[in-house]
Amino acid sequence: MQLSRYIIKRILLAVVSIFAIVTITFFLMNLMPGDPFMSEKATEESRQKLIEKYGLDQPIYIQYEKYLKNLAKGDMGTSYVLQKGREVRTIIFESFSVSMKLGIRALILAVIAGITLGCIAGLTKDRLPDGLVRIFSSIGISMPSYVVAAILMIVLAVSWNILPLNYNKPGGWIMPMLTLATYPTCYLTRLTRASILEVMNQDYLRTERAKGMSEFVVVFIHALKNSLIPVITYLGPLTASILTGGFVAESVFSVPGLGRYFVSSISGRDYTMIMGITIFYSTLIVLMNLICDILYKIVDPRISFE
Amino acid sequence: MENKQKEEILLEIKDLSISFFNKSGEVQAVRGISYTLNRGEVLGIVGESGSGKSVSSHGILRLTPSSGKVKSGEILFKGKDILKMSKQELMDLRGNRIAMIFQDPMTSLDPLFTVGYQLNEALKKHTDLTRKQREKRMIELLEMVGINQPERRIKQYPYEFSGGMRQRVMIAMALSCDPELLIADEPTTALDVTIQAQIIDLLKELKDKLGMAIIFITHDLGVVSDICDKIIVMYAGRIVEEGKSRQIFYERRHPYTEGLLASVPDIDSDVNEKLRPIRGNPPDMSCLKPGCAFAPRCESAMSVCVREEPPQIEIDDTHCAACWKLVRDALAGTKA
Repeated sequence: MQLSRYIIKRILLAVVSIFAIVTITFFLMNLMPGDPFMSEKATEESRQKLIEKYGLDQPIYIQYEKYLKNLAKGDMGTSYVLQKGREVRTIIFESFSVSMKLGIRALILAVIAGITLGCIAGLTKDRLPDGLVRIFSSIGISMPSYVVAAILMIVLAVSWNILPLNYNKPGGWIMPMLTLATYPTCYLTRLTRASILEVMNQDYLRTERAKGMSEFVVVFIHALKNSLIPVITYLGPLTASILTGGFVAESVFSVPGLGRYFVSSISGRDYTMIMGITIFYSTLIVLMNLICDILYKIVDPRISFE
Repeated sequence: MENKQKEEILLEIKDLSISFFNKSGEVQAVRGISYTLNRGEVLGIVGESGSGKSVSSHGILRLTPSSGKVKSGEILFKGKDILKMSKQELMDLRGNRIAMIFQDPMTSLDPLFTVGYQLNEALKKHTDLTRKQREKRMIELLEMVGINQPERRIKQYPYEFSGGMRQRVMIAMALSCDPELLIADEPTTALDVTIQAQIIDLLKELKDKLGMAIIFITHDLGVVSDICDKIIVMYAGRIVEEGKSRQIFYERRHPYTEGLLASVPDIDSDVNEKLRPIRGNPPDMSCLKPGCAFAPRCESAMSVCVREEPPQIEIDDTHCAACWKLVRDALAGTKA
């Protein structure tokens, strides 16, 4: 009962925040100089015609009203520039399914590797494994993803020649996945390590030992569960950003995913695409955060939905 | 006769020393303490913060934090040295034959598991009871420690319990496998005064009912007065006085015990009367000077006190204290 009420409340709140995002993005976008057809090799006259055709000559509030009306019907319009004439919905759907396939793999890798490495480091504090993990995670967290991508390409594809550069060849997804997973893996490693270190000093672990529980139970049931709480908080935004695809990873490895449209839609002034991607991305974040909060409640009984 | 006495001894600690090692060097938390505890006996260990009372008793179950090390000594439980036990033997002992309750009930239970789950863990490990029997036992235990509606309460999480109730849960957990020895490490320090009294009464009642031996650690002499058979007073990692409860309260010989008792405010005293603290601070355990550790704070300190550590002087069979004053008095007695 309580859970369903909570979810309804959160969805209503989400609608409000998405509406705010739509509004702000819409007006900011129109403040940018230029228009979708500035790069067309057309005469000034035909450019004007295009602008009139898409209704871009009308006052901004009328355009906004129209957009909202269409959006309410689930119509996001068609792309002006990037894939001229195709429905924004279809483009997002198609490219997201590619990003998602890659993203889920990267996410699973990051979560498993991050938590495992974090545990190893936390449990061997100030000893060799901890040192190695900390060096690795510090490098990974401070290296921009285009550097990671470049290193992977040089080592795995060029020097050792074990993985293809082309995304469409078998195994082509491995390098973009590794690029996508590097930062979150390292971040999760550090987060888990810090969390484990804090939890290992807690009194309740001493109680467990005093009851005669084995170190295995103490560490992997009691300490681990407690230390995963901050990790879960980070999982929401992480999932959303990984699923929508890294711009760099997708550009470098020419993955036909959603990530590369992020920037190109803006530089191309593809208004409908900018709006479509923004709405899609914010919905995804809101949804992931909601799932995380529910997960949070399942793990930690002290959290209430009030 | 002698054989029978030997059988009665449950725990015997011989010359136990525990030190912590950090960047600034060695901190000698416990410096060679010895005592014995008989079956069913209640021993109080009193002393101020840092006197080594908690460290020495955590040492019994080898729960000393990883920075600490047992330097020497033996901890014989029913004749077997706990310090030489394998991990498996130790796990079978903990929570089963020797159980422990801790100072802060608010942080001593895992917040993410139900009280029932945490009670069940020890029962599952140490007994052969079936799931149904364990559930019955858990309800019995909670009833025994005075928790209402135990059937409902075992499904609840620690945050749904108050401090006093959590300490009751801790006690129920400790008693679940009928231990022969219960170590209570300042079980009432973190609780309200009224709740303190309730917990002490509960421990007393359970002791009479179940007959286990208890080591009761506290810095509050008032708390131990009516529950303990025997009291050990610790200062700077050593035992300064040991005796029957009555002897410590009425025939105390060590100046530190004297100061400790004098500093307990008396309800009958004049409201304008000032508290009588022991002057000065406990010594820095990382750089102990020779001589009696209490000498710098002692009102009757002599020159020998700062030079040499006082020996344990036996006053009678059950009462002894470590103080040069006693040596002087004894010598004066023989001269006269």
